Amino acid sequence: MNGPAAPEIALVGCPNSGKTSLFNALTGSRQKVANYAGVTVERKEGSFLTPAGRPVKILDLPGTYSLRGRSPDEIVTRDVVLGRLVGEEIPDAVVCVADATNLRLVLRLVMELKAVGRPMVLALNMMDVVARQGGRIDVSRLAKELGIPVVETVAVKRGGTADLLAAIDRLPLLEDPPTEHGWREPTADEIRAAHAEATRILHVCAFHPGNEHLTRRLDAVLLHPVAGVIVLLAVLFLMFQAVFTWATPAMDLITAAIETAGAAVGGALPDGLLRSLVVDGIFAGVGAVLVFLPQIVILFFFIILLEDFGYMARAAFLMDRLMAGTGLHGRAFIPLLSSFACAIPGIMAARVIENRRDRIATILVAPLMTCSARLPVYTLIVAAFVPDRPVLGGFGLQGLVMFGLFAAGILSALAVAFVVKKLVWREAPEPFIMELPDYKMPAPANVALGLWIRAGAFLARAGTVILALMILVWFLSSFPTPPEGAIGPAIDFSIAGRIGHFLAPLFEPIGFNWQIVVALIPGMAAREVAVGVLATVYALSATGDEIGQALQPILAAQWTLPTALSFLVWYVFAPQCLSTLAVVRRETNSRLWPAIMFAYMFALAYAASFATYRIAGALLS
Amino acid sequence: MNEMTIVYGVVLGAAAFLALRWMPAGLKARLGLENGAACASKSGCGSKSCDGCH
Repeated sequence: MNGPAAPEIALVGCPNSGKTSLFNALTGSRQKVANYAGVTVERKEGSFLTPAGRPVKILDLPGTYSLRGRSPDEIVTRDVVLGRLVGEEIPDAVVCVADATNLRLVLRLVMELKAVGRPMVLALNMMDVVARQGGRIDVSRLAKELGIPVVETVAVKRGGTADLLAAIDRLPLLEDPPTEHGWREPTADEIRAAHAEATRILHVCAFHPGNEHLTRRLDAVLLHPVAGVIVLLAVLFLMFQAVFTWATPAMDLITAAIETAGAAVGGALPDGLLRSLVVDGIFAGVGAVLVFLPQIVILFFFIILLEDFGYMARAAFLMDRLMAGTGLHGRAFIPLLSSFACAIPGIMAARVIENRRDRIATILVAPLMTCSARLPVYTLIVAAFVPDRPVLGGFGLQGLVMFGLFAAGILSALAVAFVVKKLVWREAPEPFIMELPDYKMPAPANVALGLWIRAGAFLARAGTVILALMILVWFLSSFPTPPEGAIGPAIDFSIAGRIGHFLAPLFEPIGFNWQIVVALIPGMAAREVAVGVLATVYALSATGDEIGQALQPILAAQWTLPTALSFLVWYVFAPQCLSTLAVVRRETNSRLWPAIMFAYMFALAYAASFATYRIAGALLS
Repeated sequence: MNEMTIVYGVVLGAAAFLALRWMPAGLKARLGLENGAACASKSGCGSKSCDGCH
């Protein structure tokens, strides 16, 4: 039961209704993210004060089109609203969020929620877009027809939630303790009747202009089977060009700052182990990863912008035919897209896929999409080995190679899905219906907040896990110290050096030296750590004039081009992330699938690197 | 403080931090370090809808 001071409100709505933007606008940074007990569905709770000074807890529930939940996310939403979810408080009230530009979608859900009988407000979000499109919604008539308060909101604008806050203040909260509702699945006749009622309400309350508005005109091009695909490829190509060219000045600045700070701290410490830990371990290792912050920010800038603009759903639509050809379900697009940030949220997003085999196929291929942790590795090697010169009418060759690496990830994911779904399971994909949101001008504040969260996450990771790993790598690379009179770099006598030399024969056929082998091991914990480890290992291996050189020229001098290409290809395919395997174990509730994933990715990586190394070696000899 | 003491302290601290971070949720719950119901993701992956994974 709720305490008397802070009633709990459940935020419910269809996917893409702006529910999370509204949740962010209401709660700001007062959010707590966890999972619902016993299931792997994300739980987001926040709090805020109403204008009357009343503290309110708010729960951002997974998006759903009705209470007839099918996927695990939708079932959680239904069970929380009905008060059936064990361990979860029964909400005192419900705020239903509607995309006002797509009111038809939400009306049946509103009627279902109203029947549950909790105090309720309907928030018509994106009313500014309705007005811009020349549409109109009679809010007071809608409130009368539905029998609940209806308010207009613009979640992405300051003050856009004022009416909603005032409406929440007027709700009869905490008057009667909420109880579990005995909801039952509606019959086909009841669904038809609800649909007819929704159509009637829409007819009397809402007016949308004809088909001349911007969305349709843009869709004529962006969803065109040929022009749309060309635009999609152009957008992705531009994105990777920008990742390389725009980031350079900021990366140079960060490099200079780290070098200056490292030299200052190193100069202040006497020669010895502590100085080596700080300079070779922390500054060389963590600094080598930190320098990629601008590229991460630029990549996410494009992803957030395209998502907020409404283009990502179009990209899913365009990709659907291609994905269906490989046997993947249309719903797999969003998990695969999420995997560009990190495979883990991508794998978790696969919960929206109902069919277990479709879901497992999506999970198995998600790590092949190029996650942001691969970016530092790709950038380092591409910058060291690919000349920075224009090709194909002015495009940078480095950006082109980067685009190729991302494309290799996508194509290999589709190829593996094809093998799994068409050749092993021999299943046809289920039909996929998706809703395309209207185009919206991205709100700068929302984009900035998204970038802030991602940059903060990257920095937090560099300052915690990567820092700790680099300290351990330094220790393993420095101890035991060489015996008296030993010649050669001290790292050869260390634990890491011995492990590297021991395992090197296994990786010699694909062109990896022992330093790369050492980098692969902590790289299993976090892919980008490999860059830091290479920096530390080469710093500790350095003698004479090499000491203090940046990593990039060292690699350019010590690796051959076939080795560099083989290393890149390894990173496209290799199962270089234990956390991903752990999440696959959790999401599939099986040890078999992570084992299969590890085995096929390792085999693919080894075979592809072997072929790359040998072919490149033959061509260059 | 002796230089070796500082170095070993930092290294042990880093090792303990990582061990705690990657300890399975079930074991953590058994040791009373958390309730076991929270998301196993502990750091930031940068996803908009995730508080972090590794």
